[in-house]
Order: sequence, then structure tokens, then C-alpha cells
Amino acid sequence: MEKTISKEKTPSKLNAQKISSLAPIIGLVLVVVVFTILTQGQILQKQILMNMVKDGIVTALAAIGAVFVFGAGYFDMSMGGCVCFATVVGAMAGIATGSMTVIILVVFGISLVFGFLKGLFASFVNVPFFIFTIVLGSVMSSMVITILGTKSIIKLSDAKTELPKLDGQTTYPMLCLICLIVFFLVCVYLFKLNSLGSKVKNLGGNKIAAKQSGINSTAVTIAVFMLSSVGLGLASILTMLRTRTVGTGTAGSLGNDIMVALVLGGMPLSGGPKSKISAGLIGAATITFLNYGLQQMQMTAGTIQMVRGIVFIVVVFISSFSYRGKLLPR
Amino acid sequence: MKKKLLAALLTSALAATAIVGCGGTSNQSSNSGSTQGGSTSTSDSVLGNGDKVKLGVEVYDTTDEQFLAMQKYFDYLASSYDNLEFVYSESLADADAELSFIDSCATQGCNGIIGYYNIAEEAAIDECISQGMYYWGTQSLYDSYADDEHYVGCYNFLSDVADANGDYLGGYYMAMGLGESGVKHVFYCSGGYGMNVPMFVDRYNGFVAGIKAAQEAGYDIQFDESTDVVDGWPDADGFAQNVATMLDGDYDGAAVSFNAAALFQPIETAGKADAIKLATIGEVSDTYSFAIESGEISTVVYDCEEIVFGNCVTLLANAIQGTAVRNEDGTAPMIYTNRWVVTDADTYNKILEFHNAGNYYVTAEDVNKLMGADYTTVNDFYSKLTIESIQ
Repeated sequence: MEKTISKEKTPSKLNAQKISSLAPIIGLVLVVVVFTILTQGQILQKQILMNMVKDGIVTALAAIGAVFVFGAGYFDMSMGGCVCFATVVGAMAGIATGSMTVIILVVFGISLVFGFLKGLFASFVNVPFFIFTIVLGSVMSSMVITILGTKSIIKLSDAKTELPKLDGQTTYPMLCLICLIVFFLVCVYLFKLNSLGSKVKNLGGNKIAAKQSGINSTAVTIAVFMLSSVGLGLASILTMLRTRTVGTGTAGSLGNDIMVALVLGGMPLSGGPKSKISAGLIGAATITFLNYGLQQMQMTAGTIQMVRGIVFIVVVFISSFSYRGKLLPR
Repeated sequence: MKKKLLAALLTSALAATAIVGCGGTSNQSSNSGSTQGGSTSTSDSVLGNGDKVKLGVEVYDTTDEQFLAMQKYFDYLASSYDNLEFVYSESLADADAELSFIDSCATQGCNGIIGYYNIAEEAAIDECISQGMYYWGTQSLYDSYADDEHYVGCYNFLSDVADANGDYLGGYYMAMGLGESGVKHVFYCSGGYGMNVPMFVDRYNGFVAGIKAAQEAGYDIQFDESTDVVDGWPDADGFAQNVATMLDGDYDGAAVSFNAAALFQPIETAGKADAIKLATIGEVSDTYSFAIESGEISTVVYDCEEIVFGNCVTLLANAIQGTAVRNEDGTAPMIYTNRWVVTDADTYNKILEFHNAGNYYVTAEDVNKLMGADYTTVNDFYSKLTIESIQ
């Protein structure tokens, strides 16, 4: 009788993996609790919470959509460039027509077109995708400079007819919250309750195995980039409504902010089965709350950078226990 | 297991290094996130009526010499008064970062914003006002906000040149300074002019106008817009080569619309240290000290920070404490100041040594005396501080 070697996980390994997968949520809760205590509840004031929403919304929306892209195993470095380009072109269209509807159509149109093109490239061109996105980001930034011509910034206040101006203390934060909740719920449905989510994870886990399992990798790839583009489009619109001034510097640090948020949220950047749709939201919330908490405590910029770095290192280290092993999860 | 242990050890080492490295910075009390650091008082004196004055400072480049000089002045003021505090941003990359900084200032109890830098334009001022804070700066938007009680005003420059803003005047004075120093053929390093950066476009236009004015005044200075311009920055492609080409020519002067120190090495390499005179818009600091003594720099167009920018503290503190400085018609004031054109080493060193000794042409006591003053008193005080008055 042949011996069968059992490789069942011991309870301690299961607990460790569960803890490590919950590390980002634990981190967020800890940050909230610690700073609530340290600031004696000041940080939970309505004005501060509204400011947090305004500051974190762009990263959160873009990061939630990016979960699909990174989950499928693609590394997209062009998100900041895409937002900049879509925002600038959308703003120019809005200024020329005086119409918010035109702005929305142009921004989403451009975002979706770029998403589709990136999906096609990822599916059919045998070049490391992240190199393509680095180049794409640079090209888009250059196109923005060319499009702007003699101007370095353009203002919505120059529109033919006055464009909507949202109250920064109430209306704009509420709009941000609504967009965030709706987009997140849609993404949760697609990622967890729809077959798209499992296909994304399979594709990120092992592309060959996914194809051989009957997954249409081209369709899934294009779908993930289009979904990400919706998030980027929302981020573009909200950026424009807030700043009412766009230019070559718009969304300059968004690419890095998205990756920090995803990693802090427990998302393995290589994608695969351990991808989490909550990563973008949790990561963005953690970094925003951390920033405000440290500001409320009157810390210097150097100290804040250091604390952020330590929190980042610790959360990522603990989360890394749950990242992909040599075998796909069974 | 070994890999995890190694990872844990490396993580701990990294965290420990960060903690040790941070230890020296924890003495400052200030706000952060998008803020850089602040200044606190060691004095028992109070500014004005003693109400807290906490001001956020928007910064484009925290390593810029002019900002550092201004920060030093603000630190001096804050150390003189118990109720005066400043909060500095990090280098603001875009409009979103600027608005985030303004929001963070509001949550930290700031009651005023110094718009030393403004990229979001109206959105920044609107955000500041909606958060209940006063705003100083952004001359280009003065007409739009002059009637708003939360807009406390800005600075402007006294000059004979019509319709000239600060950058235009900077270019203009560089050209005049080079003409006066006997330069015959000048080339111009235009910085962001080719990229249509407004600041550099204004400086270039001012320089061209200054060349014409210098020629009309009888100075034999030549400048050809088609051949005598080097575009771009020191780290841009082709800049070094273009500068080297110019230095091989028959030029005896160069006007630099950014930090002229970028040309020191190329001039040295070309063996023209005694042959080229430089003009720049910059700070009176150790950077140019040796160059102006050797004659390599003939003209420094200088904005004395305590005069040109320091009036923001006077205007903001007065507004915050209920004694707002306004024009007779109730609009926000413009404080007229002078741009100092330094053309000799003696004057340069006099200003440098004065500042290095911790002295300022607008002292903390001067600022306190201006609390509760009317517009005429405040404006007269700042506008009388000319380069001749300090000799």
C-alpha cells in the first residue's frame, strides 16, 4: 500500500495566514483607534472627516479600479498620465462648450478608449506590459504639454457659460462619498459575486492555466482595463470639480499613491488568487487617516514620513505572509 | 521559515534605522502630512492683542533659496512672539496637493494662509475662505477678491515701468543692470520661456524691454532675440552644449532667469571667468558672494524677503485680530515695495552680513508697531525701504 503524504495545513499555519490576510483591516482599525485616543476625538470631527474624504477620494477610486488590473497580473504605471490627459482634454471641451455633460462624456470616453487600447496591447503584444505603461504615461504627459500649447494651466472659470461650482464643505464631499460607495459596491459585486472576479484571479495566478481552463484571457484583460478606466474617469471628474484648474501637473503623484494604497491594503502587486477588492479602499483610508492623525498631533514632516514608512513596512511585512506561495491555493 | 526570519530581521533593521534617523527632528512642533515644519516661540512677548495668529505657508520648492530666506525670517518673527506660529507645506506638486494643504491647515487651527505659491488660483482662495481663513497673495487675482473681507491683500512693486509685474521687472532690471555695467553683447538663459511658463515669459518680455530701455539710455548693449537665447534648464538636453556654444562666441554678458550658479562651471571651463558678466534674479546669499566680489556677477535683482513678503504677516495678523488694513473704499490693499537691484560687492556684502548676523530691515518690533495701523502707515513703512535707504 502506498504511503500518501498529507500536506494538510496545521491550525497554527491557518491562523497565521488568516491574521496576515486581515493585517490591513487590523492596521486601519488600529490607526483609527490610536489617533482617536491621541487626539481625544478631535480627528472624528465632521470637518476633518469631510476633508479626509476630499483628500483621499481620487486615490481610493483609482485604486479600487486598479485592483482588477493588478489582480489579473498586469502592472499599470500609466494611471496618473491617463487621468492627467483625460482631465485636461475634458476641461478644454468643457471650457469650449460650457457643458458639464460634455466634460463627463469626454473624460469617460477618453479613459475607456485608453483602457481598451491597453487591454488590446496586453492581450496581443508580447512586450513586458509595465514598460509599455511607463512609456504610455510619458507620452500622455507630453501630449498634455502639446495640447496646452501656450498655457501651463487652464481654468474652468474661463468656460463659455459658467460650469457648476460645488460647495467644498458639503456638496462636493457628499458627491465624493456617493461616487465612492456606488463604484465600490459595483466592483465588489463584479469581483466577488460575478464570474469576472474568479477569472481575474485565475488569470493573475497563472495565465497558461487560466487559458487552458477555458477562460477567454483577451476578453477578461480588456474588461479589467475598462473597469479600471471607469475608476480613473471618476477620479478625473472629481479632481476637476475640486481644483477647477488643470494642467501638466494634474495627478502627478497618482500612480505612486495608488500603489502605496494597494500594498497597504494587502493587495499582492503580482495579482492572483490572493487579490482583494477591499485593498484599494482600505489602503487609501489608512494612508489618509494616518496623515491627518499625524497632522493633528503637530508632528514635523520628517516624523510623518518616518511613521508612514514604518507603518507601511510593518503592514506589508505581515501581509506578505499571505501572498502567493509556490502552489496556487486549493 | 529562514526566509521569514530574514525578512523580519531586515524589517526591524529598517524600522530601527528610521526611528534613529528621525530622533533629531522631533524637537520641532509643527504640522505635517503635507506640511514641512513650523516655528514656535521662546518669547513671552505677544503680537498685537495676543490673539493666536497661526499662518499656513504654501511652498513650491522647499529647497529654493528665496523660500529658505523667507522661512528664516518667519522663524525669527515666531521666536519673538508667543502667539505667532507658521506651518509650512511640502513642495506642492499640483492643485490637488495645494487644496489638501489648505484643508490640513484649517484642521490644525490656522487662521490665515500665505499664498507664496498658488497653482489652483481661485479654487485655492475659495477653499481658504470657505474654511474661514484669511488669504494673502496672488496679485493676479487681486481684482477678483479685493472686495472680500477674507482677502487681506498682496504686494506690488514700485517702478516707472508701466503694466509691469514682478517677473517683468526682474527681466527689465537685469537688462538695465548689464547695460550700466558696460556689457556690449549679451545672451539670455530663458528657463521655462520655451514651455510658456508664465513667470519666465514675463521675465523674458521684461528683459527685451529692458534692453530697449538701456539702448535708449545710451548704453551700447546688443541682444538678438533670434540668436542670443538659450532655452531650457541646466538639466535639459542640449542646454550645456548651447551654453558652451554661446561662451565660445563674442558675448561679454549673460542674463539668467533662474539661478545663475548654473553657469559658474561652464564659464570656468570656457576660461571666461574674467570676461563674462552675469545678471540674475536671486537671493543675497553666500551663493553669489564670491562671484559678485570677483565681478563675475554684475547684477542681482533681489526681493528682500522681510520687505516684499514679510508684509503678509502685518496684513494677516491685523485681519485676524480685528484691525484689518483696508483701503478707504474698503477693498484689500496692495503694499508697494521696492525691488533691490544690487550691482556692487559692497552693497551685496552689507546686506548679506546684516542678515547673517540675524538682523532684519523689518524687525519683530516694527511688525508689532504696525498692528492697528491704517493703510497709509503700513504702505509708507514698506515702500520707504529702498536699497538707498539702507546704505
